[in-house]
Amino acid sequence: MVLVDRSPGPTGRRPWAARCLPILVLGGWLSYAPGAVADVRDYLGLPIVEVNLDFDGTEPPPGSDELVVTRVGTPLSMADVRESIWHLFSLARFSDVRVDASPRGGGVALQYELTPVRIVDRLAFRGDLKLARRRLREAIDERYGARPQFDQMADVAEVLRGVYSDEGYLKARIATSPIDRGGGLTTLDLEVSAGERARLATLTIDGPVLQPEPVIFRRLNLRIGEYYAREALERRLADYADNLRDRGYFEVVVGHAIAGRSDGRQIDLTLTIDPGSRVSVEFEGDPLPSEIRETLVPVAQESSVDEDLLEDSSRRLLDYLWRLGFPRAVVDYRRTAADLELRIVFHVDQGPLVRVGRIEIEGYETFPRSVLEDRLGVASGDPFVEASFAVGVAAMAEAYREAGYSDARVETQVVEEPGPSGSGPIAHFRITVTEGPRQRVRSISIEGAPKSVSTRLEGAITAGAGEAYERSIALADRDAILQELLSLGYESASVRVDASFDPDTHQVDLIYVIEAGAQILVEHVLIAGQFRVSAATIRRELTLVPGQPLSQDRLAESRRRLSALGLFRRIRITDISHGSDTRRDVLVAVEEAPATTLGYGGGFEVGTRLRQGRAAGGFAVERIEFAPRGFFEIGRRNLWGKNRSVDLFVRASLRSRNEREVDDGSGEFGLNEYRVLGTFREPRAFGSAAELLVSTFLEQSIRSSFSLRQRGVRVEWRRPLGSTASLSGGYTFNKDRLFDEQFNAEEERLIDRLFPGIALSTFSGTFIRDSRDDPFEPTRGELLSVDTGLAGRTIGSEVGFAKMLMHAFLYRRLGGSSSVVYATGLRVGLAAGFPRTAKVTDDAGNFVLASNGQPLETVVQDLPASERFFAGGSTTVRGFALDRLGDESTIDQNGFPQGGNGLIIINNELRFPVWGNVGAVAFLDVGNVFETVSTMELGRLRGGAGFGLRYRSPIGPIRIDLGFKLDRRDFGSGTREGLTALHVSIGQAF
Amino acid sequence: MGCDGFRRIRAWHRLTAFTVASCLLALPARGDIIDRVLAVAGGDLILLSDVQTVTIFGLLPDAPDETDALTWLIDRTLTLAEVNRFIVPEPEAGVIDADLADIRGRFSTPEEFQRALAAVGMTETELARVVRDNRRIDSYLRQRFGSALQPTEAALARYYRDYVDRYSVGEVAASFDRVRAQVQRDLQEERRQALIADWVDRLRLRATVIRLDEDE
Repeated sequence: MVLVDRSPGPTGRRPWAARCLPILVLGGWLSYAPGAVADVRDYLGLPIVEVNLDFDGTEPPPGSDELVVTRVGTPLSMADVRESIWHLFSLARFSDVRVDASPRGGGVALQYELTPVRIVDRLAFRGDLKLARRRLREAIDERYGARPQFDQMADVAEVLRGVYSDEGYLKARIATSPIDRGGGLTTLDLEVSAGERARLATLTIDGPVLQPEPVIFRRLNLRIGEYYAREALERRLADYADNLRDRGYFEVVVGHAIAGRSDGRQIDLTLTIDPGSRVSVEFEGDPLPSEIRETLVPVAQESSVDEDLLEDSSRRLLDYLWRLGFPRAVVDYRRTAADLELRIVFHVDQGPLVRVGRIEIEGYETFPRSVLEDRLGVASGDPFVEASFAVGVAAMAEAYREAGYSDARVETQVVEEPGPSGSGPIAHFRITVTEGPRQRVRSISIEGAPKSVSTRLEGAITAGAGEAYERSIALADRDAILQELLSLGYESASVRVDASFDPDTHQVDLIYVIEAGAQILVEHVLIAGQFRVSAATIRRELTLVPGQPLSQDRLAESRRRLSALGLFRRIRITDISHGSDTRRDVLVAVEEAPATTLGYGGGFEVGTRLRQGRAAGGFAVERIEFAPRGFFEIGRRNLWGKNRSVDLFVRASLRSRNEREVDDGSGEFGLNEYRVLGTFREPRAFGSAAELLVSTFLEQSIRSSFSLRQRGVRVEWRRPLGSTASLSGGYTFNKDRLFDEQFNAEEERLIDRLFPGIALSTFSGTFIRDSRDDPFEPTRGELLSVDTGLAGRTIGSEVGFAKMLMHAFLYRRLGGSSSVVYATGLRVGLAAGFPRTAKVTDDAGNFVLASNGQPLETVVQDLPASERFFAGGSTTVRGFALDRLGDESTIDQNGFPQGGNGLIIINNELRFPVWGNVGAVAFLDVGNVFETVSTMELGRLRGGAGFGLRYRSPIGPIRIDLGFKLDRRDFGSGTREGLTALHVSIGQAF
Repeated sequence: MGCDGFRRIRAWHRLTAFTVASCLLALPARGDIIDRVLAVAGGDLILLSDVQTVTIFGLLPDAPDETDALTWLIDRTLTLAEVNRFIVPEPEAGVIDADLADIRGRFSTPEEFQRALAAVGMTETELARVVRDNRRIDSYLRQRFGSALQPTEAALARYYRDYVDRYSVGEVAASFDRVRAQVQRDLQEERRQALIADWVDRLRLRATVIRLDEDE
């Protein structure tokens, strides 16, 4: 019976399927089979008709098309293919790049197949682990890092088997399998079967033992039947070796080896202990201090007695003795070995102590003797140290050469004579200076400079023809030229300066000889690693531009600018060479910082505050108060990939309210001071270099004479002017409300009475120039700021005023490099209110009527309390409590400050270190608050002096200042001001 | 089973063949690989065209296969990175020229040499740089591992006994005293090579090396 008719059909041909299937399958297989490696010569030179990039289903990195330099229409070149692969791989987004070619219509079609990087960000351990997951995870982190690529983890099972083996699990089995979670992220599944833990079956010691073996095993806590643990055993062996070293066996060697038996349950352990010889180091001859012997002959520290170490030790001992003035000292050593004992004996013969006697210097004209003595650095009576003397003489000669006396010679003559009885010889010196003629520069030229940059290089030269020749200037110019060349991309440039002296005319021809090498230009700028930040944002900050020189300066500037964005945890800018001698790609690889930032903290404030005391009859009393405070901030950076950000900041302090008739500070202690600030920041607003800040705020603060609640919105435009200056302008609309006023009712300013709640609409402008070396603890530099404000009723303010506050601070180190810092500052505030009429109200808020029955009107010209100047406290004049500086025109009769329209503060402070991180200051502050600008007088300034301590902590200097008033006064009520004010805070006063 | 049954079977065959053919033809056609990444050694790429450079230009004298060439390139990349950390004397221009002339001589015509360069995407300058770096590596290794310790007489004798065949002419072994200098050179060279191999092994352990040819 025939089940299947395999005979040819009626036509004599096989069935259709039988005929076609093999061909189709073969054809299909050929079309699907992985690409074969081709003889590229078949394709070279053919026009490229198509270029495709296959990203394996992932999102193409921005700009990846432009990295492929095999362009349609151009002939195929393998150099271009190689370069394209380099570019694409440099993005660090692909673990493999392969290029396929296929013939297409007389040309060639290219397909770039890009395998995305698979990051292993999760490890899933399963099975019979026996060891803690953390231990296994740490081993993997240590080998591969926190987020390795899957391709890098080929031997992860081997790594883990090593960990298990170290703990005695000799037959551990580990199977790995990746689980692709999409988005380039992979979970690595690790199936573990730890197996049985092996126990010690035999213990052997290899080497000459100093103790019976059981004693050593006990010392190392080794027992047959116990588990094996490599790390613990190595630790104990190291302890054992240290113990032997302490006993003089400096060259002891210990180790161990294990052999697992086939069942995996037992281990044969062999210890290697070679104690070496017992070493003793002895000294004979002249005595040396014991600490010097141990430091200069570090046999015990180095655990070695090799010849090099001993020779070095001899040399160090000789150096030591020579430096003490024993130029004829002799040191040698000998070794004696017998029966595992090695004796090393250093013989020291220090010889006589030679001191410097007279120093005569002759033949000098250009420099005064004091300058030459300073250069020599040796004085009569010093121990004679030949090396120091030679250095000093060379420094004298160098001083002349630097000043243009290139032929200057300094010669010395030493005459030694016996010293007084009981002391060593005296060495007298005669130093003869032959200055020779001073050389002048006749001509300056540059040789070998590329034409395109020669003018720029000439500009770097500061020496001039006709000037005195100074070698240091010529060398500085050489360095400046080299720096210019580097900044122009001549990375292998070298510059030397040839000075050709004319002995007849005493003139010098300076020639700067340049070997520029090839200029390296930027070919492509590749950006990698960004996910949320747009490439455009990064590119905008880069000063490296394709086609421009690859300059080290620009590279550093690009890195600085990217760092300044605050968006990245890590930035790596590298140049990549891929064949060309003159062109490089620049790879900018970034690692983004988290988009959401959280911050919180706490602290406290201790200071002298004003309170209204019942016992004192309602007068102001100063009290030292402690106010704990905390803050919380949350921010979101890089909104929409454009480096915009929003931040919310909340700060609150626990403090008593300003209440009348409270004298013990216990009234309503709570969150009475707070600040809530929300800010949106747009860098490079409207395509400019300026940033735009929009903020809204809600704030309540307790001032000395009142409490103030403010809410408002502010728009600010801020533009940097160079690296140290900035200019900003802004507009603020805020509503302020005064409460808990402490002012004496009869003296309270009209504006505070009529406008306890007030709306202010203010335009402001600020200029800041800050050249301080450290904003928290400056030691040099200046800070200047001018802050102006203008409020007017025409722009929505209830009152109008103009205001200006100027700060100028200066910091200097005294005596050049001294650690003593002098800081001084001047603050001047000027303000004037614009007059307006207002209806008079009584305490209940009702209008007071005039005789004609109409509400009584009056003219108000003061600034509201929130805008007036106050002074006194930890950052202004420290002899006074907060805001307490003033006189009878600005302090009411109860002693509460009312503020004023004029302000002058002058600070002087000397800051010096005391010990370690502790420093001290002495200060003298003067200043005052004036009711109006026209009443400002220097003669009315009041002073405070005092001292303080600083502790340099990781969060900034912690400060305690105690200020004393230089002129105590009585208030109208007859109460006298306190003598002192104590301030505790963080950060310098100014 | 009757004729209808056979017809049904034939119909199924046709349908199956058509489906398989359609599916296979629908799969994207794949061309010839002209270049690809084969390994990443310490962050440096090694491409298929680099491996072909080694084999086509005979840069590795033993004429190995491409797997050996790749292993050699990985080691070379790691070694070169180490060499570049130090100041190694530049080979003289004449030496490089001679090496290049030697390479050129392996091709029957200058055009063939140029075609070979184009096939791996290189220029003569770039090939000269490869040759230069090879020379620098040799120089560095000579400098670093050149002064091997003098073997003891016992070690020389043992080496002679172990490899006595090397010092035999026909079946007659040369006496130890006669070939002692040669034995010493061989042993020192072997020890030097062992030291270099050990050093390269440690370089490999320190660096991240990914081989993609093993994925195939």
